[in-house]
Amino acid sequence: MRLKQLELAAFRGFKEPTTIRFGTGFTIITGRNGSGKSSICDALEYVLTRHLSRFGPTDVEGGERIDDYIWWRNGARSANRQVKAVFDLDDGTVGERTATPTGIENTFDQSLFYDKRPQVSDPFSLLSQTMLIRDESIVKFSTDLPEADRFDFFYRAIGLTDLVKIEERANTLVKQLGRRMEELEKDYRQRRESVAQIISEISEARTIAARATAFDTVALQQRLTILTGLPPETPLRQVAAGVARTLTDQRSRIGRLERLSADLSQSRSWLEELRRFEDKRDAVKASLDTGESSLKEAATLRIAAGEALRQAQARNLRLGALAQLREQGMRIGLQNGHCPLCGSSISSTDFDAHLKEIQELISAENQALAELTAQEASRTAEYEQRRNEYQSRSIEYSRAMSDCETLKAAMAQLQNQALLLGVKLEAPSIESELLETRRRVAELQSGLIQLEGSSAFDRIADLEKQRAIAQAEVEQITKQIDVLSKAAQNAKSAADTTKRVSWESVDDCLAALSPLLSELFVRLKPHMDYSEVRYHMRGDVKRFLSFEIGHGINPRFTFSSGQRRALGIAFLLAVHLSRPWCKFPTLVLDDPVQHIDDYRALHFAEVLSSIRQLGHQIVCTVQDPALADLLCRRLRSASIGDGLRIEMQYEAGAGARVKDVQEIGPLPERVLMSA
Amino acid sequence: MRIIEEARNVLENYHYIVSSRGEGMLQFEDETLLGFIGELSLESLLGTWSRRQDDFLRSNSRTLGNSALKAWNVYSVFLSSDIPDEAARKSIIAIEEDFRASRKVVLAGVQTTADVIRALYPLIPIQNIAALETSDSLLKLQGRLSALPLAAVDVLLRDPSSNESILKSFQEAHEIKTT
Repeated sequence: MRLKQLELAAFRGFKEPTTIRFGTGFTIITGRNGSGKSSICDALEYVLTRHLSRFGPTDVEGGERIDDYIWWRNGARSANRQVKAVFDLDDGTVGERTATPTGIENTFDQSLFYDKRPQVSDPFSLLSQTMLIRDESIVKFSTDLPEADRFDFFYRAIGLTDLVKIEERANTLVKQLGRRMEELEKDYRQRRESVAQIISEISEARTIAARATAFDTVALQQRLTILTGLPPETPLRQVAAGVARTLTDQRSRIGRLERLSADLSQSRSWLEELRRFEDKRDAVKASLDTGESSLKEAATLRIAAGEALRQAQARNLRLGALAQLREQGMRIGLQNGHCPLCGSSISSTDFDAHLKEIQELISAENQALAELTAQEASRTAEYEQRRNEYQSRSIEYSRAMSDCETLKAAMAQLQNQALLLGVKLEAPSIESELLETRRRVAELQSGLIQLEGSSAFDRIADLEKQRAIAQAEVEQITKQIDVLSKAAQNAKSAADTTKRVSWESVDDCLAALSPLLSELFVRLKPHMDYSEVRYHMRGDVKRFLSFEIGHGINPRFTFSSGQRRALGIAFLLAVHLSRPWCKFPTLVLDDPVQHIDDYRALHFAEVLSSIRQLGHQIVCTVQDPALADLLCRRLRSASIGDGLRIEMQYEAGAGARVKDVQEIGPLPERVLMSA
Repeated sequence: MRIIEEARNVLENYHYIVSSRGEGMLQFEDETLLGFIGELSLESLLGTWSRRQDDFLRSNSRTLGNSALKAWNVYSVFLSSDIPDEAARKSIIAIEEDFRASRKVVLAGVQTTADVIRALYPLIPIQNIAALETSDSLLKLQGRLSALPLAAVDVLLRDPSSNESILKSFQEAHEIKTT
């Protein structure tokens, strides 16, 4: 299968419909920058993939990306936009593959491009990537590319992507199964708790059932309905509930009776105490009455004393004036036998006697006033004392009265309690009722046990069913856990195994590829001191592929840009020549010799020639016409296909166009003279 | 090993017309390339390579002149079994980088057939085409996974529609085995 021609319409740099023919052996395309050389290579990639891989998804500028520039966009949009590739098929027929803005159409079986076994995921992208060697890919997939990306490229190129998917699938399974296991383990624990709870309930029910004995259901029902006061036809289940209620009531009654009995026993001392309280009350009352009389008497005396004091005080006021007169009389003295106060004729002796008498009267009155004041104070103090005593006795009396009333109320309450319990407030009556109530309780208790025992058998049966269901669920979950555990183990094992197999496959492929890479390295001679190149693989989780020249020398940091490119070309050519799945062996190179000197460009031409000799069709674009001529001279070989030299040109306003096509015919078969 | 005889075998194997040009010398030609090979001592090689090239061109000047294009594809190949020292190695590189008149291929220290083939790389097709057979990877993987239930292996190896469906199928594959 060979590329016959490309028909481009409004694609990339081509405005007008243009046909590019290809030689069955080789085609060398030359032209200046922008003349359409790379657009031809783009067209070949686009017709295979409808994508241009040299522009990544992150190549966005001003919101635009390469998809906006696939088709010619200078001026009016052409109605006919397409790229058509025409192929010479091995059966002698011609096949076409056409890419338009809306899709791809193929007139022949796509499997002619690649082998179906092993299935290569996204085969056209891979085919394009390994068929088309261009400046970007030389840099991207050669020594300038990180080791991990180089590994991935090689991995995909040799068609091992399925193993990666299988490994990813297995790892995803491991995670999913792990999560599912956790859920099931949780479910298992919950179900087990449920089973344990049911078993515990069964055990309790069995204990209850064990207490039950054979009994006459009808007689028991009659007796229990009597004891509980329920109608005789009440069903047993309701009777059980009634018995439980009655039992509660009767137990409460026992408690109340016991308290009444105890209180009654204690009430005997209460009567004596009441009598003591009453005696005390009466004594306090008598004392209170006496105190009251005494208080009244003290009050009377106090009032009388007060009155006498007031009268004395009034007299004392008058005596004050008299004392002043006396003082005047004494100071003036008798005036010619006459009293200086009243003028009456009086003797000196009488006058002095009168003054003395007045003095004595005043002294006596003062004495009396002092005594009356003291008496009034004494009477008041005594009154206060008696009043306090009276008040104290009143309080004591109130307390005594309260104590008596409290005891009487307690005794009345006892009486009331006895009345409520339907017994006399007498010990024999209470004891008798207690005995009777206890007997009823025992009878009810026994009956209840019989009834519970009867229902316990039913409950056990129900619980056993529940247990069987729950246990079956547990068993089911256990089986699921076993299955999941095994599955998870196998998934992990599969992931590890797949990783190992893929590693081995890559290693095998690299080992198989190594002589070819070495040969290409020798042929291209990137460095005069290093004639060997080796590969290294490393990494477990992330895998890396690196090169080594000499002993431990990394060419990435040793080679010049041109030398690295030569090594990159060697690697890409080795991959291209080693694709086991590819049935379309055309090699397309887009200006691969940038930054490479003439000496190595010659080596490159020789390498292309050696690939030509294998029968591969070669398409190569170069900017330098002299290099194009060199390639045409070295690649020509009539017996393995003809050659074309195409010169491209950019015409202002009209886009890229073919300027010249030159058939490269065979050279003279025999030149050398016989020696 | 006689280098010149090995070289003849190699070239004839790739359909070159090969003829002798005297002791230790061959000339060859195919549809595209032509030239000569000389087996020399290192000393002779370094001393006479230019003269030998000129002799070859002179002796074929008439026919080369009639085929100007093919005259661009003339190879002068000099081989020696002598091991070169550093000075000789530099001289050899200088000879190879001399583009005058013909493309020079010089290799010293030629000891084996592989060395001869390596020297003649510019004249012959790619030699070490790798047969990267990866189709057995899946078979190998299937063999390694033989301890797993067949259905589980099938689930792993086929393209699943979704992670959930593959989980279900993988689980079912183990249920089948355990029941």
